[in-house]
Amino acid sequence: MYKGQSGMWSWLFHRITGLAILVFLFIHIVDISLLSFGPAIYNDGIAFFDQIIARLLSLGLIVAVFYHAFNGVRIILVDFWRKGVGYQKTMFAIVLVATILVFIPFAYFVLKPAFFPVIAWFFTLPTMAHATH
Amino acid sequence: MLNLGKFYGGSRPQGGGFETFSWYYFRISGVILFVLVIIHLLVMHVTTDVACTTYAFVAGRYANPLWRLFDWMLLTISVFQAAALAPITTLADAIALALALPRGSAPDAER
Repeated sequence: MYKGQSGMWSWLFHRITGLAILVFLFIHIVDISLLSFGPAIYNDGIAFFDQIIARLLSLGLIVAVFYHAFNGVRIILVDFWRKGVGYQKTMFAIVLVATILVFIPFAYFVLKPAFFPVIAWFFTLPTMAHATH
Repeated sequence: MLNLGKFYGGSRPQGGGFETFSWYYFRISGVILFVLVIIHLLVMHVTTDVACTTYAFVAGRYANPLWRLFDWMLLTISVFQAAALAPITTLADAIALALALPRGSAPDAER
């Protein structure tokens, strides 16, 4: 049986994340090629990545890359490790847990610049109010 | 019978030739890509914020030829994996699903 089991989900996620990374890769080649137009145009382009929507899209990409990378290792282990087939379901669980565990610190670093001004404003408000009056 | 599973895993192709070579190529280059892409994400999202990866940042990195080699390998391997694997696997999956053929061998069906 195949449909509805972990094998179907690992395969489906691998295809979806693979296609998402493919689409990003082509966009990324275009945005990096802006380097050939000089610093002014390239730096204007890079400024887009400071927007919250760009940061959220980055997080989606980071999840996709880590799932695809970890599941790729799982596929390689199934192919090359003698006991790989027997542990494939356990390894799928490890892939999911590892993706989430690695994603959390990345999410912190990617979102920190977006929320830092808000947090700083929240903490420095009394000082600021004091200074302005 | 059609064995579409051979393109995206399945049993290891025997007898050498292009099929065996590509089967090993995508697995070995995949391991290299695993290391390169994680370093790339750490450099671009953790040690530096993406919004700070300016023209000057790129120029500073590319002063070191090893970073040029790093990026060249990352680009070549990822584009080759994407360009070669995505159309083949997606097409094979689409045909397999459309015709409801058995998907290769038993270990492959669990992948």
